[in-house]
Amino acid sequence: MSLVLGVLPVLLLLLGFPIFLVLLSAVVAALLLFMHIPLPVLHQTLFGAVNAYTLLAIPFFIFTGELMGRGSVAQRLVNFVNAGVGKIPGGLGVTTVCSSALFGAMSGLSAASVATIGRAMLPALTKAGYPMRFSAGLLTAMGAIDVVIPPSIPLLVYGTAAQESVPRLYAAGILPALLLTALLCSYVIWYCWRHGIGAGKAFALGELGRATVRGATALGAPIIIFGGIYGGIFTPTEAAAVACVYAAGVPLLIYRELGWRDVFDCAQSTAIFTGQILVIVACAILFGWILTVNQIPAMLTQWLMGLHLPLWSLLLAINILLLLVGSFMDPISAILLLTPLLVPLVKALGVDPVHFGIIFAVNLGIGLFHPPFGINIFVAQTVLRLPLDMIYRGIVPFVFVYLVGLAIITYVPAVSLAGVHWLIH
Amino acid sequence: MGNLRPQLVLDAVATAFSRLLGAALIVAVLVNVINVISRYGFNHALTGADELQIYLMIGLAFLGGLVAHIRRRHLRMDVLTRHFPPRIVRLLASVEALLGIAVCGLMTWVSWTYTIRIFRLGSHSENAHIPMWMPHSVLAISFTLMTLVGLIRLFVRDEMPIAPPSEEATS
Repeated sequence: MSLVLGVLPVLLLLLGFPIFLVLLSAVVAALLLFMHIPLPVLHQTLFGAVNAYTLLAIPFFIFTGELMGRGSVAQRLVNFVNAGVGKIPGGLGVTTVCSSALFGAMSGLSAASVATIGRAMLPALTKAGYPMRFSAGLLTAMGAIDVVIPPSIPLLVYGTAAQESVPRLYAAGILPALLLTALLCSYVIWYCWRHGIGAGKAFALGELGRATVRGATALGAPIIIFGGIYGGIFTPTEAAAVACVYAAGVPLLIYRELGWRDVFDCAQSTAIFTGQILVIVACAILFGWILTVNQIPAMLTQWLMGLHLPLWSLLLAINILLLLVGSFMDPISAILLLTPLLVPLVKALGVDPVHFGIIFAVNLGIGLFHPPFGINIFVAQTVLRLPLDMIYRGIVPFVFVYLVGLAIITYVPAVSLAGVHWLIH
Repeated sequence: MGNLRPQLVLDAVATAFSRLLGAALIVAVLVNVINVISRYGFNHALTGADELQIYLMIGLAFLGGLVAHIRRRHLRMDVLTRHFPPRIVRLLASVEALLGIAVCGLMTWVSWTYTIRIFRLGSHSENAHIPMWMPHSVLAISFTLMTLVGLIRLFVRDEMPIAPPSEEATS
């Protein structure tokens, strides 16, 4: 059994087989060879896995992100943030980080943020004299915040896999996202102050007012999402649907920079992306069910508890495992594969699964830009046309900045859980 | 030319399904928003709206998965295989097609059997009264076509490369 549910999936994964096929093959082999359960359970579980209203938020948020990624929304956001930042060392770098976080709060898509904000900011950073290596690192690393910031798709998937409340997870993600943003901004300011890189324009209330008016419609999406969910007006799924209509309506009817054809194109690419994700969600839930039926998570938990390791060392080991996995695999697949194994373990250790969801997301977020294979590295290389060696050298300090943030988030649960207490209780 | 035709057919199938699913997504969004407006504006929720959206999403999941299968855009960990020599890559592609045929073929049989049983039972969803064989048949159709895609890939030389990582490849 361990061969079929452990060795076979790992082998097929390493050989580059599609993840849905890897999971489905392991389940089919386990059912046919070792278990005497009628095969219709395969169909029932796959169907049941996707037969969930919460999961609808995934295509809706992706659609919002796709629509927001077109047109001038990103530039309006950048102008708004830039007007608010004012004259501080590394002002443009701070604008980049904050714009990326704000874009993530609209779309929940990390790679889209790297591509969209990166395209808007790279020429400005270069013109302002920022070293190319620093800019490459900054633009590649900044998108990792979006994995934690609501409406993060990986957090939504974690909520489904771990059977945790999505609004609680989103509330828990706010402070860690702000912490990571603050750490990145602090590093940018320190670096620019040390290297004498120029400050931006002095703060002017009039300019901020003008930028706010120009960007007000672009800023509506996060207000709808946060205000709707935590104001008790919408469920996350409804907030995502309303955000979709808003994200289509603003560039279509107000800015008049998108046509109906563009909206339909976005819907088509969202549909395929949804298929890529939800097929894995369905197969991973089936795989998780097989693991649970065979009591594998319980056995793993029992074995690890038997080692009598202190909590901090177990969390450290889990962080190292997740960092490694994250640099080879996309966050959604990693969450779906590892949640059935890790969540029972951390629950047994007394870690709040909502807090663990945030730890999970931050690790996988770092994996997104971590050498050698973080996917945002390839996005920056492809979309921003940055040389790979420059990106690799540029991201090293940012990895350390994020690791500091990860350590705080891991060992100070209040950073994650305070948001839950404030917004939910 | 003989090798080109199946690929063209697959492309046409993928394009047709992606248009259909794009439209389904827009319908799901509109139904959701109309339901919200109806609930808050007129104190009346649309009966069966949630069921309709969920079944549209099941279509997005499995038929979207089929489009990803045809276009070779399924998420995979290709860190190692990117460095393999072309001969090994071709061999692995054949093994992948074989495994896909075996697993999806079994799922085709299981899903059709289940769908036909649901059809004979005549069960409907609780609120929207949608015949339940319809959403269940999505899995059957998807696995049937995935099996066919595998057979075509196995017997026809397929030149479509595996999609490289892109900005939409991950969130």
